[in-house]
Amino acid sequence: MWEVVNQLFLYIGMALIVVGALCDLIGALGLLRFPNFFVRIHAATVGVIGGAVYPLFGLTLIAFACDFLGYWRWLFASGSFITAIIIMFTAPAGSHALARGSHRGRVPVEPKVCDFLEEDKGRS
Amino acid sequence: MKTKDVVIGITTAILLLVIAIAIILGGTGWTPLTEIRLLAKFYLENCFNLFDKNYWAASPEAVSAMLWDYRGIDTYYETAVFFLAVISGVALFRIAEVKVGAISSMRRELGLSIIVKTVTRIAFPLIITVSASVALHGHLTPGGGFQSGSMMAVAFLTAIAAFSRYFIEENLKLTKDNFLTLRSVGLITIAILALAPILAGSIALMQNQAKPWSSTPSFPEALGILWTAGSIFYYNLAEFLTVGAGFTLLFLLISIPEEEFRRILRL
Repeated sequence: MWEVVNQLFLYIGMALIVVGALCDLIGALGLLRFPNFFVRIHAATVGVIGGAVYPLFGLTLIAFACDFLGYWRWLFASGSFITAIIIMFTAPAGSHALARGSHRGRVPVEPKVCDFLEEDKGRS
Repeated sequence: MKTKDVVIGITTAILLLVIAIAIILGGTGWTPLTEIRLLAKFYLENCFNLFDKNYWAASPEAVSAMLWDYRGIDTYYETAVFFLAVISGVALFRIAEVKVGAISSMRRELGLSIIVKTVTRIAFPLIITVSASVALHGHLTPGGGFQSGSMMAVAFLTAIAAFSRYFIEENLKLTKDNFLTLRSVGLITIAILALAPILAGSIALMQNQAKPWSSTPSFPEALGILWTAGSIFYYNLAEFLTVGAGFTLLFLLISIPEEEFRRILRL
């Protein structure tokens, strides 16, 4: 029973790490190819959340599955889990602050599709 | 634009390749030995040697043992240099008698948006807790006074960025004079700890455990069940206060708005 669960954890964890690598690649491509600052910061956030939080959750599962580590696997698992949670709620706040600050600093939104913040400012 | 990108890419690749080949061929000159050298062997064998306590520092963490015991005076001078830097900063900003509450009516609008403020409210106590744990475990696990003090200063820096400096002065009731006091307390503790062995009759400043050439009473290795590694625990704690309060003091001084400065200079 436990061995099946361990195998499941191992494969889910590895899949999460692969997803994280793909997200990092997508984020890097977006950072290079996107036209202006605001969509680039979106790509950077894909790299942070997808490329750091998913692999850390995967690492948590893999550490659960590693029986040979004995007692220490709880240390690895809890460490990576807490790191993932902290990154998950601090990185969006950081990118939000960057985007808001540069919008207020009048960084041009060059190929503009829509800019709700500007519309809200104009209305009030 | 296209050709420029291609040129930059190729140049970077060639540069990396050249550096890699140079390192592989040993072109960077003398490389460190792979085996452990005599000095490192001495520290590794003696810093927590329970069977031969002649040269030990009672600290399982070799780096902390070196910083505060074997090479303690070096760290002492480092702290003194930092003290002078902070003192000169405070002296430069001496004119800044900022009136607290001058802008407090518009305090709600100060700082960043509500998303950043909420996250900072969660993260601020977390960072303070982690820095305290790094300081208190500095003699057992990697870390120590300077690192933990820097982490505490980072917590206050995020609070300044997210809420403005008036949050620290009014809501936390911590002015720059409090930080100055805290830092002085830390420095005086370090000085007393460094001079205590001399007063007890030792020949060495900052002696932690008794050595064969000066066998004055050494610091107690543990307080009850709490392992303090002689004096290293207290040194780490004092350095944590000194560095954290010093950096926070500088950040508080730097974040005074320029209009306030102009207003004070005009008066």
